[in-house]
Amino acid sequence: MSSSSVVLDEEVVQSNTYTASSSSTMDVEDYHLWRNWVQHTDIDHHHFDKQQAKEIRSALLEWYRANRRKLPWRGDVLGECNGSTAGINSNNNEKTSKKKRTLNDKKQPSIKNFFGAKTTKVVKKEEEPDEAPSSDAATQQDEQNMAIRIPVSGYGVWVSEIMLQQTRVEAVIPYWIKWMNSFPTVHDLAVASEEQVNSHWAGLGFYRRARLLHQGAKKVVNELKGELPQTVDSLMELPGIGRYTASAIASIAFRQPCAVVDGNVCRVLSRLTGIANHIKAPNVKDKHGWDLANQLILADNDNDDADDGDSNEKEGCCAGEVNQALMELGATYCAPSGTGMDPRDPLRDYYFSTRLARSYMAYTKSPISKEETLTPGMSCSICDPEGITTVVGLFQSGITNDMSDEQVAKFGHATFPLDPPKNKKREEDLAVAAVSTVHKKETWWLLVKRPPKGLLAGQWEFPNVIVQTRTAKSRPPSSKKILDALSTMCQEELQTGWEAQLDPTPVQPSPLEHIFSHIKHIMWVRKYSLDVDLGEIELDYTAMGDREARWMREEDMEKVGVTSGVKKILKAVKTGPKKGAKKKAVPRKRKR
Amino acid sequence: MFEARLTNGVTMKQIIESIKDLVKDCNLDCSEEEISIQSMDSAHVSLVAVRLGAGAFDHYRCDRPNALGINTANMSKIFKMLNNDDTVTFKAEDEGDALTLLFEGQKNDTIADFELKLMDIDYEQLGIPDTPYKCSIKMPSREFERIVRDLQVLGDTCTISCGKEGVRFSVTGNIGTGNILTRANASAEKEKDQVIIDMEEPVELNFALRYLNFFTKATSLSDHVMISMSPEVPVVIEYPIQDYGYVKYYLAPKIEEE
Repeated sequence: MSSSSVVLDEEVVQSNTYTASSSSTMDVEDYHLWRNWVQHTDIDHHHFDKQQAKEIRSALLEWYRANRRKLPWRGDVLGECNGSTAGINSNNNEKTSKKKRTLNDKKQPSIKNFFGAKTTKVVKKEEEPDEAPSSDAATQQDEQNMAIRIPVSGYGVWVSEIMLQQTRVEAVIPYWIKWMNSFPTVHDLAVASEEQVNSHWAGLGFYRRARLLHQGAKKVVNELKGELPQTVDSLMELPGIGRYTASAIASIAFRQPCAVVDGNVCRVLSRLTGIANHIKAPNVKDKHGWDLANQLILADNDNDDADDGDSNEKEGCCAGEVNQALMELGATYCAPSGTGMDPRDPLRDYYFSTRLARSYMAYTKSPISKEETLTPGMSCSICDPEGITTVVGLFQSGITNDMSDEQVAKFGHATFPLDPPKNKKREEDLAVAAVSTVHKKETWWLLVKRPPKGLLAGQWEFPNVIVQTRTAKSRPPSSKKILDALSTMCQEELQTGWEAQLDPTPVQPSPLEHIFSHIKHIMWVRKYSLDVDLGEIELDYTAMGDREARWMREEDMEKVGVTSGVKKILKAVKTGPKKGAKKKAVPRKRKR
Repeated sequence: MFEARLTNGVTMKQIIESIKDLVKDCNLDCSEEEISIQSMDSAHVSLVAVRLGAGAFDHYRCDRPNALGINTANMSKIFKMLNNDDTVTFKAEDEGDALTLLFEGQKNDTIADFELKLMDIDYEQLGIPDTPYKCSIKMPSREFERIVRDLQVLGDTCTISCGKEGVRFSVTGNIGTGNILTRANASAEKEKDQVIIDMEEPVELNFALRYLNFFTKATSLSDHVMISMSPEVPVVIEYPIQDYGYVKYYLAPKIEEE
């Protein structure tokens, strides 16, 4: 008697837990989910239903408000901003990272917290006692610099969004702070010189961004009375601002209810709604991704959720926060390596990806799978025509019966979004002439300005010429080929007449590499030392067609702001030939 | 005009070596009484203060205070060329933009001179309060260097606790824990082996071993090191340079978060 009642009790408890844990246990995951998905032919399949969108939206907001990264353009205290995702990273080695945290949960404060500044000992400034208060104020300002906040403004968001294109948050923070100190308003930027702007951008890459930002600021000041437009459409009329940047500025700075979609958001959407496509596909990232994200942004949050407290909350009023939450989630728990199972992931209960894999498992176990053959749908406008077939293939080969429920779910999560088709970067062999001369004990280098359009437009660089574009078959150019290319360039384009004095030894036995988003430059650097005294040469002149050329010292280069490629060459030239020169590649990727 | 002649030139070499890993650019502040350096590391977690009094030099002249901005890496490169028994002479004009260094061999058979370009460095001096510490430990500098080096393999944070029986250095890391206890022995035969603890009350603080390791670069300057601690304030790790000066490092203790 008693034993049977115990069994009964257990059964009751078990069935309770099933219902409580909603749809996330495999046994309950209905195989219909998989069947419907495979056969779906319409984008409606991916739409959020209203209740779900609301839940996702509030989960995102709650998570974001509690866990967001401290960033200067979000109005956080400068000293606290490091942009690191370390604290909320979704790595699989969860155990070790947890352990680490308990061991190292001590904070390292600055020594400045203990010792106050005293300005009296600045010896050199004693000569101007009249100006003492102002210089005092300046140093004090420096000291407190890290403790201040820069308020969120349309201009600040604009600058941050442009800088963040293709660039990691950690790299942007110091540039952004420096920029906002030098050009605190759009007016300051509009009156700045091109070289000032360039020098603040030097090292960030994609210099076109800086030029367009500069032009945009001029346009705002000259044509729009210094007022930044507040709507997406009017923002898009500014140079360098596309739909993404316009929406980001409008939603973050001006609280417009509009979605912002980038790669990270597309990944989250793909996993939430089961989009069988890669996130760079135009119909995802330029078209339907926006519709789906808008469904989340506009999911009305006020009617049913009376406990939310904020009854004044209007439709889409927290759009900026929802957008940033989506992007941040895509950079952390929902990064490509995310599992969809992390207990700290706010959307873990909503991922279609994990449910789909479980449903597939249920389907293969059910008798129906032996009776019918599913025809994958091909006409859904957001999925790749072959996408569903690809997922079916991946599941068939990757999910086996002996996998645990968690493994199945993780596999499903990792399947979405699909991998983009691979295409290799173009590789170009460049012959570079580092021409230097010594004048008044200082070394001067010859630099030419790149054409006003195209890659690195308008930037200063060492004279160079493309030797070849590599294909699968081509091999590194011979040193004769490089020298030939260089002497032709010197004769015909620099029109110097001193090409005879070249030093035929390479600067580095192995070439320097510099990687852009779509091109890889393999630079074969040769050093030319000139005996010509600069007194006899003009500092500025025109060479290489109509390109400006100029002799510069290193400090001049810093002033005009040369690219990191040029710095790399300069460093190599100065250190001379070295064995096993380090190859350094700087891939840039936007992560947020 | 600033001019100073240091018979024991290697002292300056050791000073530069002891700060160059921590500080990239700094001012050599020259005054009538001394040459001093104060600088924070780039992360503003620690501070180094160097003093070399006029008495250390066999000729010292400084007409007016002068701040000579140097890059420590470059200075170190120049001092690499100094022989251990060379005499060093420093020269700088009041408004000059270069520091002249003269290395003379003992037998006066070689003379090398270098001119180092100076930089303008904006540095705000921090005021270091002159407070008494609850604990001060004097111990052989080699011993301290060894402890720091050994404990680094275990983890990155070191707890230094000073009690009656001695000083305990403890590390807890991913692979395990380690403790090294150094007992007071004021009666050691040789003075340089002595460990003397002067304690008012026990103190326990946590520090980043990375920085402690930087500080031990000054080991060659002095046989012993003085460690002074009080609760919740930066530790001072002092390497005295005979009676003429010191290299002092201040390091903010790590604090419990929240």
